[in-house]
Amino acid sequence: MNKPLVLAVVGHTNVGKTSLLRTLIRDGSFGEVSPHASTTRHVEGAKLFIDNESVLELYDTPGLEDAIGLLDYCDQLSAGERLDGPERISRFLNSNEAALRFEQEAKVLTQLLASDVGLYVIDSREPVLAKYKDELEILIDCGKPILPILNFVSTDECRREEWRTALARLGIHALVQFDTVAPPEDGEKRLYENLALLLESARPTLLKLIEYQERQAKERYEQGFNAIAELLIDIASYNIIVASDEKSISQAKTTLQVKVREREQKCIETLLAIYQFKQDDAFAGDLPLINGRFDDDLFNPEAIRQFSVNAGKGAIAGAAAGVGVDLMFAGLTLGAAALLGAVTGGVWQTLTTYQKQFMGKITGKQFLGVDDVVLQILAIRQGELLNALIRRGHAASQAIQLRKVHQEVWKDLPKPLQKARAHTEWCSLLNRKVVSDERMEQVKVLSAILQQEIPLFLGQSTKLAQ
Amino acid sequence: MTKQTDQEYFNALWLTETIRLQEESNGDFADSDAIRQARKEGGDFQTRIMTRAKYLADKTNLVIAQSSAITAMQWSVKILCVFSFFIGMGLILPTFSVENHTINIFTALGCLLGLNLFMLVLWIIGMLFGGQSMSQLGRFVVWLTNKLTGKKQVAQLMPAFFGLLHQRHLERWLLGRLTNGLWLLISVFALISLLSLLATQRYGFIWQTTILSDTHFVAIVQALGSLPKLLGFPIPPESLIRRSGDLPVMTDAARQVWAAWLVGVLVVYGILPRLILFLGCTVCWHYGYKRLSLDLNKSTYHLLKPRLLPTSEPLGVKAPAPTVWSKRLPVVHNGVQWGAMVVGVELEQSYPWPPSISESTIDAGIIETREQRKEILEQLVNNPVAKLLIVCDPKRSVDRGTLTLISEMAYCAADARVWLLVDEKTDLKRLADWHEGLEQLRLTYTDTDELLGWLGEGI
Repeated sequence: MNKPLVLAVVGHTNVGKTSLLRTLIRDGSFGEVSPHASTTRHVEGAKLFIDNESVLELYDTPGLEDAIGLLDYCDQLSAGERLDGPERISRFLNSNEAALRFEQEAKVLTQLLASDVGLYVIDSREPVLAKYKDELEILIDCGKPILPILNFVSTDECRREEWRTALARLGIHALVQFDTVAPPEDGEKRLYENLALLLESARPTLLKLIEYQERQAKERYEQGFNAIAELLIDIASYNIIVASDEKSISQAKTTLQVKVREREQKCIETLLAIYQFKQDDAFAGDLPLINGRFDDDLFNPEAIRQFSVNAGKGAIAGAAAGVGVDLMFAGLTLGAAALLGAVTGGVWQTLTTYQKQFMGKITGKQFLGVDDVVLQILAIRQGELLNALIRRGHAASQAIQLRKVHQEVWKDLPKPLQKARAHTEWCSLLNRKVVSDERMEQVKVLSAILQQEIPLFLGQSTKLAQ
Repeated sequence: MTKQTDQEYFNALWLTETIRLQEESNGDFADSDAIRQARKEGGDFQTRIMTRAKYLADKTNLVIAQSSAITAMQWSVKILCVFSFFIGMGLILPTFSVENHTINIFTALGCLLGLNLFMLVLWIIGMLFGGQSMSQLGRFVVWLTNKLTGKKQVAQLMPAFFGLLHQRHLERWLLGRLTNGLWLLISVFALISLLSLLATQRYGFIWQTTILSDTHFVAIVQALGSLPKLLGFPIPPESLIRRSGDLPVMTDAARQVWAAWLVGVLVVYGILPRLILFLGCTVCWHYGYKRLSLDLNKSTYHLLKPRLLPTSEPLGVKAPAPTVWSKRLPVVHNGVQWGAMVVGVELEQSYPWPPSISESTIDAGIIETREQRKEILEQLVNNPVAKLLIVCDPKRSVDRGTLTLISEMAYCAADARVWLLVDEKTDLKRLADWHEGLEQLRLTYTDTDELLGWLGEGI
């Protein structure tokens, strides 16, 4: 096993060093992050693995706070001698003040000396002050390669060019832009690629890491859409028979809404888990969620109305909006359903389902199911959440607002959902154990459709919103 | 993965799937011990999932339930074998227990082969068109297994068992093996009974027909006999066949030829197809069985990944935070009576400097670099002032270096105050940090320009 590459994350106080580390190791619980200065006062590390082989060690360090004073002190220590950088640093580390006034700085420098590379985190909103240049001078003195990371680049106040010029004057030309709040999708890749340029010997490991992380990201993405597909199939296949009097219908509608809400919540939790956010993570609250839930109710009549002007009849009326009575007969004619059943091979299944419904019709019972429009809302909401999760670092500190969408994803529901309408036995809300290969197959198909259509749809609606 | 699938490995997979199904329907187990165990034992992702499941299964007595389920299944099969012995006997007895020991050849054939071939056709149709559903025999075995163990947990094990097999469509080969094996046994028992009856009793063979001619009959007997002939079974000569149409031919030779023909037909059409199918199913079963593994794409497994095979792991604290955090001492002012100065600390270049001040106030400029710091401090030490206004931008985060500078400058004034340039872009939390730092220095500060007035008065 190769020795893992050791990185020290260094920088001024309160520029987001711990946040960068959290994002890189995908662990929102690492260290302590706050908007206050000098939150981290100790050196803490984490390992990154590829298939159980440790390839990278990252160390979080306290912020440098008094570079000017330290530089003064170093000059005093060298007392006119011509010393090279590392010698100056080692003289400082052996001095008195390294344990007193500059204890924090001494820790940073000790860690940097023990590392292969220093990642110098910059708050790109800051002007390039003299103290930052002094900081860099001290860090460069350690004799280790330094890779600057521009944080907060997605804000308006970002001074990218100023920093680029200043760094070039100090002889540092590599520069990575990496917003820890909303890391670009290829941010980690670019970071590691730049590291590979700085450290030729670590190149194979870093390329392996890039490849591994891309694979992981793809896996997470697919799993995410699978979870959404499962949700939609569950909801689409959820329908119950009730007696047709007013009271039992309204009761059943309420139960149905409650169940659907719960199911949606389960999907949110699954998505959070796939992206390794915990619900009680301090930052999970900054997702488009409030206490881990969407703030808009799924069955809010206003939301349904906004979503689609021509929502199906009854979809937006009454207290129990979004729940269709007699959905099977309204949404899908018996003939069309039978045809669908015949085409898709589930002839027998379809027949038995419709037989039940037909009998229900005769005996004066009603069918209750969730409207198409609610399925669409679900698809969009969960899609947006997934989208937000992909673009979210584990150090995010601002809430992402869900956009209001005024259009439908689909004119007609995708085939798998139409099929699910006729397969009550696919619904995990109604059956404790759902073991059906056909369902599994349809979830797969739907997941593929979602993967293709949801990002496209979200992209379009963003453009429309602009 | 070409891992050898032995019984133990299969059982582990089975337990893992059972645990997965349980967790999917009833929520997760408290598994921190199991996760620790799995991580300690290491291995690839699948191995870790299996270690975790094994550990959880141990705790919930699922392992015991599994071994009793296995025993019960074995017993079910044994019971079926005993059944097949009786069925085999039963196929023979009705035909061969006739009073006068005269046997209608085609009734005998029907008894020996009819049910067998009918079931064979059904099984083949089931294999080709039946989809994935379990046959009645399969249901019976599951039912029997449940009855034999009487444990509640076995009911949880069975769906996982078939789910696991379904991955490679193994359940059809397993059931095929069971069906064909049982029919093989039945046929062999029938053969044994037939031989023992033929050996100990004297039978005469006849055939009867109402509408067919004896020519047809000869053709049928010869056609049926042609395959067994390849294995050395005789075909009755044509004259014998014609003669057996009226009365049984009671010569020893004729009886032996008919008996041998009958045995041959039973072997070739009853036993051989079942034997071949049994071996075929066994081969398919073993092929798939050896290649069974977990479907790691299942979301339940995927969600375990971060904990079982973490991509990162904390290394802990390497250098702890200082236990005694150096306290900033309040600034002690001197007693100078004269002079006023305004100084900016780390302000942006774009900030309009100096602010509107009276002519008598000294403008010390904006301090940023090391040299500028030294210069201002030197100047202040030599020429202390009565009033010093320090202008700071709270958009910078406050740090020890800046606070040191402020306190050193304040030391050289009779009264020093700080003006924090707050605007709409100021981060309130950073501002709070400034307030806290300045309070430790016991310095007066404000967020508005009122201090410019203070600076100008009474000089």
